[in-house]
Amino acid sequence: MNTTLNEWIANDPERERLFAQEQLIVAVAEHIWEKMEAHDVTKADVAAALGKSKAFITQVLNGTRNMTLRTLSDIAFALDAKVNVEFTPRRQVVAYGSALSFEAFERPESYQAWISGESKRLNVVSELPVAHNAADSEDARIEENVTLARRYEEAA
Amino acid sequence: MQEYIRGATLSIWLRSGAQESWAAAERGVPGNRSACPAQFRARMNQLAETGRLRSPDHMNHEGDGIYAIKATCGLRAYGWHSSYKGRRAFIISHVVLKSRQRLDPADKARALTARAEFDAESTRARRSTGEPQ
Repeated sequence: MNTTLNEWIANDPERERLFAQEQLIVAVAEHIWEKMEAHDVTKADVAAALGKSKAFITQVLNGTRNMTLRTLSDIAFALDAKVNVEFTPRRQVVAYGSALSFEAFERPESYQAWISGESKRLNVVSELPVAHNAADSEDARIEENVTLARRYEEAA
Repeated sequence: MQEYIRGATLSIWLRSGAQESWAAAERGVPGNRSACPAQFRARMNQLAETGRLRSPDHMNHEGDGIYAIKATCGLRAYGWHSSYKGRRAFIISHVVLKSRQRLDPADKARALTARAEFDAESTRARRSTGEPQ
């Protein structure tokens, strides 16, 4: 047991890989549920449209059965939608509290020192804008956070 | 209270004792001990990022404002929606490993008690800072 999600992940690379799998599964399932709600259809309706059992739909939505891309496409088709796939960098930035930052491990000098600094500094970080699921384009936001934090600390 | 996840939409907080119950519950998870806990946390993370879990297989309303975040291996985190430290929050009272789908009334009662304590603490805090009730 760890005190934050990021510590739990950071303690074991295998956890990070499994967590990424489960993030995708839950995100896909929730997108499907969102469309089902928007169209006011049930799992039984989707199952009928696909010629599958309701149990099959239940299993693919809760991740106990692997969903093929064909099944995903068919579910989307039944919900009058299509699937867009996008790959983004898996680096995450969580700049708050005592949480560790994957980005911080990769970044030298100031940010690394910053995140691993004493609690006063971390508390300052907690009041700054938080960057989630950082992509390359968010590097600027990270730098901005650090700059703002420095100014905040200097002012304090 | 421990802020376990700070998502884009809300934070997930652990009440005192929640970590201990969580650790005990995960010690009982059969098979691959990383897969199900990862699923459990991914669902929590989704809640923190988006503010809700639509699938009743992921999160279920147990009545009286008490919710259970669920993993397929039987892990359940009981809690409620609230606000804390100026943000939307989902506060977890305790975690259990269930062998049956059916809600144990004791788990709901435990969460309701924790929520009542939390509400009382919040009221005292507001009074001490002079905030409107």
